[in-house]
Order: sequence, then structure tokens, then C-alpha cells
Amino acid sequence: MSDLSILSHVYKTNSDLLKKINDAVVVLKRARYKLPGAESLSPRQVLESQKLLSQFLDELLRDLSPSLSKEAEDFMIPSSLIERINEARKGELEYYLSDLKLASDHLVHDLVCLTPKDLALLDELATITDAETSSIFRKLWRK
Amino acid sequence: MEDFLRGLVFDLGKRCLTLQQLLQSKAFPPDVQDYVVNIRALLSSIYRDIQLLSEDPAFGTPQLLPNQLNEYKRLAQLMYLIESYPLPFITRYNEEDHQMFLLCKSLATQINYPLPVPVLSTFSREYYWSEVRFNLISVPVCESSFLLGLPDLCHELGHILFFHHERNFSYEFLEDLSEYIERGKREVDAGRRPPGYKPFYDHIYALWKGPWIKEFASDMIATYIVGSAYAWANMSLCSKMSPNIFSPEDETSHPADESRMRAIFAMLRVTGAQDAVEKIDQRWKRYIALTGNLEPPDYHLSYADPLLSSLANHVYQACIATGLRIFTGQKQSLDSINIPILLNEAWDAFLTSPESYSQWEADRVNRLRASLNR
Repeated sequence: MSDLSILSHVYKTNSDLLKKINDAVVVLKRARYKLPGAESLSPRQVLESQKLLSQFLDELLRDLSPSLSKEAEDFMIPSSLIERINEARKGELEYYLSDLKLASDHLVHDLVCLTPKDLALLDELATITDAETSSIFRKLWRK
Repeated sequence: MEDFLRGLVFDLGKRCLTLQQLLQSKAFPPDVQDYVVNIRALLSSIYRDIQLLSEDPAFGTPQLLPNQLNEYKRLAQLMYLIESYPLPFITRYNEEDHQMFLLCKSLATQINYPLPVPVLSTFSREYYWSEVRFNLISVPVCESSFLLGLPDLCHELGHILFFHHERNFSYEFLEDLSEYIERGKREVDAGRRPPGYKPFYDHIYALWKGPWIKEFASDMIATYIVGSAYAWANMSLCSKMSPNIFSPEDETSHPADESRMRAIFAMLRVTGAQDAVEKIDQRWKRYIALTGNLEPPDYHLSYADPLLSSLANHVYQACIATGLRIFTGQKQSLDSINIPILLNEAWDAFLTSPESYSQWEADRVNRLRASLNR
């Protein structure tokens, strides 16, 4: 009956999503920039991270685009996160959507196609997801 | 920043070990022993993640530092949540908690609840609530001495069930919701509604997909479990706490109370309890008139009946799929007191003779306690 029941559910969803995005971005950065530990990554790990992030960006595009119809999705991006991204990119949404599309296209091709701008965009999404997760955490923790 | 983060990660590791030691050093009552094992396993996995982070050969490289900070925060938050929720529940477990646990355990058996029985505490300052991730339910201090509010325990079980089976409960409904939203937007495109309605539809889509579906589905699961008793308990709760039944104080957390009652009615209809709906609705309508609350504009676009009916149908099917026993399938037995039946009898007794109800309730609570402790 208290909002805590919903908060705890939404927190877990956001926190799981953050882990998925963050882990996949770490794999791609490590591989792309040949950072220490890159040698122990398998091609499959890299490919799976590309696939996961591309799927995430596609769903995000659908949720953010006023022209695209809403669908029941596989990723189930929390609506509060969509609203937060919408708010952050208000006024330049059209450009942002084309950046997302471009990054998603690069992800489905080859790792070498992935630009620093794409990785910065993915980092920014992880940061926004972290901000949403932390904001719910503060509400849960203060109870 | 690299050194600072490294220090924070070490500090978190130490905190994690301290919590593990605390759980190892205490003896816990049988009700929570399995639960403690799970929390210890979770702490061990957090500790492994902390080690992985601190031993990363690329720890502190400028490219990965923001992501490593994200990971540190995630782990630190999880640790603090364990310290804030499961730990007080299990380290301060007392006799009242045990009595509520026995009641919930018996209820879980009777309704064929498909998940482990939650750990219960009786120190809530916010009526009933659950921490779904940690399988915890908190109830007001004296709740085990009363019957009329107990249907709300089923609402919290509903939250936990929905959390674990979210896709089964929501996926098909979300398709219906999307169609509803698109239909509304086409009305705008056709000039039958002003352009401002497009963001309105996006907003209600976000609310339905976010908090509302969780709350409505939990109401519907509780109705599936205890039937009319949940509708009466909801009316009783509204009478005590609702500031305005058409306008929730925070729509990003709960839908309007009036819509929740329609959600409950929708589930009662799906279960074939149309007569019960008519009976409760008579009093509910009188209650609404008494409040003097008025529907805000577009109220029924936000909380449309077809959406509530669709959700009720999908939740009903998902309840059957999880094996949950419906209230109409409950039977009295000689071995134990059937709690869904008892809660409906309690509301019947309360509605038939409110003056003598308190005595009736005290007697049934005593019998229930005796039966649970046999």
C-alpha cells in the first residue's frame, strides 16, 4: 500500500538495466581501446555486448520517437528513465534520435565502426540510468 | 580520483565482510534460517564483484573510470539496502513477527503461493509495504489482532508475485495498452481531439507501464486470492486515508483510488462474482457521493474501463498459469482455519452487525492463533 512496494520494484529494474549497459560498455571500450584485460575477452563476449547495446538503443528509439508506435518490448525500459532522457534532450530530440540510430547501426556492424562519439553517447546513457537508479535509491533509503 | 575510488572499493569490501560476520555470529530462529542463507549468498556474490572491480587490470584508466564508478555505486547501494531492509528484519525478529509469519505461511499454503513465504516484520509506520527484491513484508504493529485489514497482505504478496513474473502478468496487456494509446493519437491526427492530447497519451502510457500496472495488478491478484474481502478492505482503507478518490497525491506512485476499486470490480467480474460487485458497488457509490470528490477532466481517458478489463483478463490468466488458487476454490478443512474464507466471513460479520463485530473478531483471532500454533 505504501509506495515502497513499487519503489523497490522500480529500483531493481533500473539497477539491473544499469548493470547490463555498464558491463557491455566496459567490454566494448576495453576491446576498442585495447585496454589491459582486452586479451582475455572472447569474440563472443564482444559480439554479445554489441548486440545487447544495439537492441537497447533500438528500443530506446521506439520509446523516444513520437512518430513510432508504442510496442510491448523485450527490454522493458522503465518509463521514468524514458521521461528523464526526454527531459535531458528536450529541444534537440530529433538530432539525438539520429545519433542513437547511427550508434545502433555501428554496433550491428563491426567494433571498428564504433566511434568515440558513439561510446560517449553510451556512457551518457549509463550515467542517466545511474542518476535515475540513485534517485530511487535515495527515496528507498530515506524511508 | 583513481586512488579515491580504490579506497572506497576497499572500504566497501570491509563493510561487506562485517555484514557477513554479523550473520555468521548469530543464531537465527527457524522461520528465517533459509532466508539468512540466501542473504549470506548474496553478500558473498557482492564481495566477489567488489574483488573483480578492485583487481581489474584496467582499474582507474581514464576510459573506464566513469563505468567503474557506476559499478561501485551499484554495489554500495545494494549493500546499504541489505543493511536497511533484510538485516533489521532478521536481527530483530520477535514473537509478533513470528505470529504474522505463521499466518502468512498458512495463507501461502492455502492459496498455493508459488514462491517462498516472505519474511514478515510488525514494525511498519506506513501501513502495509513490501520490499519485493528481498522478499520482505512489513505490517502495522497490532495487525495480527485484527482481520479486516488482512486482505492487504494478499496485495503485498501480489506485488512480490508480479515482480517475479512481470512478463507473464504484463506482456499481453502492454500490447492492448499500446493499441489504446495509438487509437487515441489517431483521434488527434484526425482532428477529433486537440494536438495537446498527444503528450497526454504519452504521459498516461508512461504511468500505466510504470507504477500503475504494478498497483492495479497487485490489487487484482489480491482479489483473485480473497475475493470480495479485498474490495471491502480497500473501501475501508479509502475511508481512512484517501484525500481525494479521483486524484492521487502522487500519480507517479499510485493510480486514483476510484480507479483501483474499478480494477477490483473488473477482477471480481472475471471470476464470476458479479453479484458481489453489485452489492459492494451500492455502498461504494454512496461513499463516493459522501466524499463530494469530483472527477477531473479526462479522468476516464486515463483510467479507461477497457484497459482495466483487459488487465483483469490477463492477470486472471497469469494467476491460473502460476497455479495460484482462486478464492472460489477454497474449502474449509478440519486441520486448519481457511484464511481466505475467514476474511470473507469477517467482512460479512462486520457488515451484518457492526456493533457485535469486535467480540466476534476477538474470538476468531484467538481461534486462528491457536490453530496456527498447534
